[in-house]
Order: sequence, then structure tokens, then C-alpha cells
Amino acid sequence: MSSNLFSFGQLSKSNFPPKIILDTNFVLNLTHSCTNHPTGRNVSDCIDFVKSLIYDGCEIFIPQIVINEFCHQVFLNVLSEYIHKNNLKINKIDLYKQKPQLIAPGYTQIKNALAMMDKIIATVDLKEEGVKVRDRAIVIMQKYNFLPSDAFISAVALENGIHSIASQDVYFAKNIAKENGMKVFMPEILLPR
Amino acid sequence: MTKKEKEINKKIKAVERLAGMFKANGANRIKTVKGYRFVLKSF
Repeated sequence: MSSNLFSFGQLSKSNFPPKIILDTNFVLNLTHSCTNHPTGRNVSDCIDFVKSLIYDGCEIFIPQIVINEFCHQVFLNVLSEYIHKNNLKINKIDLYKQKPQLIAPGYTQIKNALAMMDKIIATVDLKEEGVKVRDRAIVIMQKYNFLPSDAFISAVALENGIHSIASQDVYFAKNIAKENGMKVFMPEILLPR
Repeated sequence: MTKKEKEINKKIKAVERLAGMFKANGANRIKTVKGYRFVLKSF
């Protein structure tokens, strides 16, 4: 196992990050409970981890690309609900193209979530634009066969001097942990054995 | 309570309000790994 991969429960004085970036799947698992599995550990593990970070003064960052993916998922959820309630057999994207107004309920949900995120995240803005971030993302994309969003999240972290990421994506975590000095925090169950 | 403690409490309350704010009720959006349930696998 890479020495730069840690479970949420392994957060300690020796590996405590002064700054951390939250990956999209972390934010989604924090915000989404599973109605058919009320005791699912995903939410509680994420809450405990974020609380520990806050108590000890870690600066938490959520890049714009994560917000973009988060909004996208909320809209997909809204479309999914509509399909389920109306017992339709249609692809979500096809439904959106036919009736784009259906995603409207998602806006309020997103605004409410962002209002809470704003209270948690650092007040300093991340530098997320420019050729340096773009070119670093391209290098990372090629090096690890990452999709663009994962590459940009990594590039934003590295260009902003942030060397810790919370993620629940095994492939992303084990590869980005190979970058010099990068630490990844993830659920214990997902740590490579 | 110090200003710093108040600030922390405000953040903790925000985390608690944010947590589980959305419901994922589609089985296709839940990935299970030995009892650990994830909302989705596409990101």
C-alpha cells in the first residue's frame, strides 16, 4: 500500500493536512444519504472526517470543477426522480433534451447546498485558471490516464500548493498519491491491500 | 466561548446540515463494497 494513502480514521498529528481539497465523489457521498439504506456508513464517515478537519483548523477547498460535477449529479437525480415517479422508460439525457425545464427543482437544492459549503470552505479563492493549471492537468491526464475532471482537480491542488485530497475513487486515489508529497484520505474499506 | 470556538461551531453546524441533504433512492446510483454504500461511481 502506498504510504501516502490514509483512511479517514488514520487522520493524526503526523499526517494532518493544513489544507485539503474535496473530490467530487467525497462531496456527493457527504451530501447524499441512501434512502433504502439509512444506516449506510458513507455519510457518517464523511461527516466525522470533515469535523475532525474543522476542529484542528484545516483549510478546506472545493474546486469549481467539483461544484460543476456536483450540480450535474443533482440535476441527474431530479430527472431520475421524474422518470421513477412517472414510470417512464427513457434515458435521462434524452428526457432533459425534450423537457429541459424539468431540472428546475435542482436549482433550489444546489443553492441550499452551496450556502452550507460556503460556511465550511476556506475564504481564500483557489487559482483554478490559466495555462499553468491547464498544462499541468494535461500532463497528469496523460501520465495516469485520468479523465479531464480528475486531472484538473489534481492540477488545481498541486498548483495551489495543496498536498492532500479526500476522495472515494480508488483508481484516482492510488495514482495521484504517487505524485511527490501528495496525500490521499479515503474510506478504510477502499484502501488497497 | 472564544471567537475561534464560535467559528468552529458554525462550521460544524453547516457540515451537519449539508450531510445527507439529498436522497439517493436509485439502486443504480449505489455502489456497495462490503457493506459500505456509495452514492455513485461515475465521478
